Amino acid sequence: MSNNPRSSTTHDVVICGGGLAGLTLARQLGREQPELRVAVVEPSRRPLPMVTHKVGESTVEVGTNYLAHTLGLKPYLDAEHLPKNGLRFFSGDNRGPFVDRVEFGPFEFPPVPSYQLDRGKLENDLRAMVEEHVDLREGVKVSRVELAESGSDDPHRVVIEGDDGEQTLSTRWVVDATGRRHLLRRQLDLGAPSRIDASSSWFRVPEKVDVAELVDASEERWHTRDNHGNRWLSTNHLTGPGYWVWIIPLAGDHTSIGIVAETEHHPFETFHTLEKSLEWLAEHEPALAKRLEGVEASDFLVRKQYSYSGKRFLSTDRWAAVGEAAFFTDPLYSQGTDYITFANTYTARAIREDREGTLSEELVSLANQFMLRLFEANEDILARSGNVFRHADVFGTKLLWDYYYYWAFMAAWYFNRVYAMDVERQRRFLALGDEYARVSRYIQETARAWAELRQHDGWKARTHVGLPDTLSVITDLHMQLDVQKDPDAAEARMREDLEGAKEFAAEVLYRALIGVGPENAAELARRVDLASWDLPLDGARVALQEGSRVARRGGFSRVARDLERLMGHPPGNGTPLARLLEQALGRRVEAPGLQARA
Amino acid sequence: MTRDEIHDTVVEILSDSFELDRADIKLESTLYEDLDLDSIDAVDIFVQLRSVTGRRPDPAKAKEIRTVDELITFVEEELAAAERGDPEPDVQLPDGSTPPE
Ligand SMILES: Cc1cc2nc3c(=O)[nH]c(=O)nc-3n(C[C@H](O)[C@H](O)[C@H](O)COP(=O)(O)OP(=O)(O)OC[C@H]3O[C@@H](n4cnc5c(N)ncnc54)[C@H](O)[C@@H]3O)c2cc1C
Repeated sequence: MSNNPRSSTTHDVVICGGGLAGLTLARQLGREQPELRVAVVEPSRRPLPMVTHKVGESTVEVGTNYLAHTLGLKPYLDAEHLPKNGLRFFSGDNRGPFVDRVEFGPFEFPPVPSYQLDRGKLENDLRAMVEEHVDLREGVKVSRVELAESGSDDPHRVVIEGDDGEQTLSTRWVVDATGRRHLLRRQLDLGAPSRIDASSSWFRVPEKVDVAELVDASEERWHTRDNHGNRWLSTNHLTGPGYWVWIIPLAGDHTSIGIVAETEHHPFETFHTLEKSLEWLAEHEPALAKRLEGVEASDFLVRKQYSYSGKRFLSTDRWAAVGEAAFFTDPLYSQGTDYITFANTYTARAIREDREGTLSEELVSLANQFMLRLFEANEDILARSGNVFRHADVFGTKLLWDYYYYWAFMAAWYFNRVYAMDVERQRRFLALGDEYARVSRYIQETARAWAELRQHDGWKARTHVGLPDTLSVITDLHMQLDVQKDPDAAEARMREDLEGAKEFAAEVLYRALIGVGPENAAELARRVDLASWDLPLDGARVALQEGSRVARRGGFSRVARDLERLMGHPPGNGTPLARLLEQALGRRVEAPGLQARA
Repeated sequence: MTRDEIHDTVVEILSDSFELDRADIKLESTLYEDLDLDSIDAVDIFVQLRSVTGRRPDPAKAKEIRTVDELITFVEEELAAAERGDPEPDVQLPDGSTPPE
């Protein structure tokens, strides 16, 4: 490494912890910088148990692209793990017949793929793959890390302990990948609280649990619309007041089932044992509980208040924290592997630039800012959303926005290789990200207030919303991921989609106002601080709300039209939208295109 | 499903999805002129019809359909194809292309 004679160190990079984050980073470094001397230190030994090894089976677009392409694992994943049929949500009356719940999910495999992983199998296999080029120490744990003085070029020392006693490795870089052991987080005081207050319990069962079994065979249309019988290959979510439940298939006909609930709605003590979890399911998800009667769980685990943030994950002092060692937000959208992807990728870049003598404080600071913004964006999306899960119209509208946001900004960051661009350009993307975050906050706050103040049905019940296999603005964003773009085109596209995002926010506001009605329009405006919003509201669009379908189709933006196609035309509550908006804003919105800001 | 049942289902889907009066949905009504649908509406109709036919619609056939009567015949043929176990047309991505292998 530039100033340091290599002979004074035993390694260039020591990765503490060989879970998903540590092993994938080892493989990435091995592929991209094969001359590095990398060690992975991991206390557990093979063979790791299949199925029950760890939680976190479902991947989404970013993590999948990383595993499949950056790490070259596509043939392996195709052969050994399950293809995933997207995310699927069943929302609405949790205690009524399952067939009546509104279903959000695709019936063709989404164009951009993802997987359901067996974590035990994956980690066994990754160990076998990386040990060819990495110094893999199994059955050895890191007892402490002695970091070199900040700003110096001295090596770090990593003290490890195995069967043959203690040993010290000296290394230029040290990476904390010890998950919840948080080796560096404590030492360097990197922790920060999260606004998400929720807990989880989960167990695996040794059989296939198909969500289709929760609906009687006589419900032909429900079964026929999934004509390939692939619902079970989705990450299935059942949402209800204050909670959601996952059903994830694992290879070899096992199934992972978990409860995630906000403390405010469901104290942890109501589901913190297997027995209580089953009782809890019987109360809140009776159809699933019935299906599980007599089924023996293979394991049972819990995480109380699982969410936590961090101050930073990367330093010019040649350390990094990746995976759960740094952050964990929330499992709802299966983004754990996405966080690993971003942290590993920035870490790999920093290690390379350090060798080349170009590593700058600017890059490290930008990487830290990006990860923190990602965390905050997800906090905005997920904190205090318990009431949103209660109503299918509110939840569905929010869900479509969360997809929009993920594909237009978060996933686009990875697919367009923004992390590899120069710092100046990345700063511009980050500034765009702040705009997206602002719009998202409007939407999340509106959804919360809407859920709490709701008086009227927000739609004429759609029974199934088939994203992303329905042509729409949102599906287009998903498909755009796989379209290679140069940095200028990527930036232009992200900027363009921001305009759509603002239209989206206005549409959510209109739907919420119709949902809360004249009774609560002013209160909704107060709760979301509507007066401070900087968002174009178009009087001409508003006036069309009560117009004919053909008039709306002619006058609506693409976003407005797609929301209506996917979520239906709200039946209304007798008060025209223009009037509701006037009550909310305390003044009229004129046509066309006047700013809402006074 | 009998032709009458298919008729009722098609009318139900059209009226529910597009705020149409059932009485206005006649056999000879044309989708694009009389019922004022457009190509995006057509996409939505075929998505919904999957819950009846259990098959991916053949886009070439779907494009030919002009009237409610032809739509009913299309569903009838799709049901017969499902019955026979005919292979489904290839996956089409939402933008009309086919996925890469
Ligand atoms: C309820 C829940 C559901 C989730 N669902 C999903 C999901 O669907 N999809 C998804 O992508 N993510 C999900 N996640 C997140 C996922 O679990 C994590 O992203 C992932 O497991 C983190 O991997 P990791 O390598 O950071 O940590 P781990 O996999 O925990 O690895 C840490 C490793 O460090 C080792 N270690 C510990 N102490 C030491 C030491 N002193 N020295 C050396 N090594 C040590 C451990 O043995 C372990 O192997 C979920 C998380 C939770 C809590």
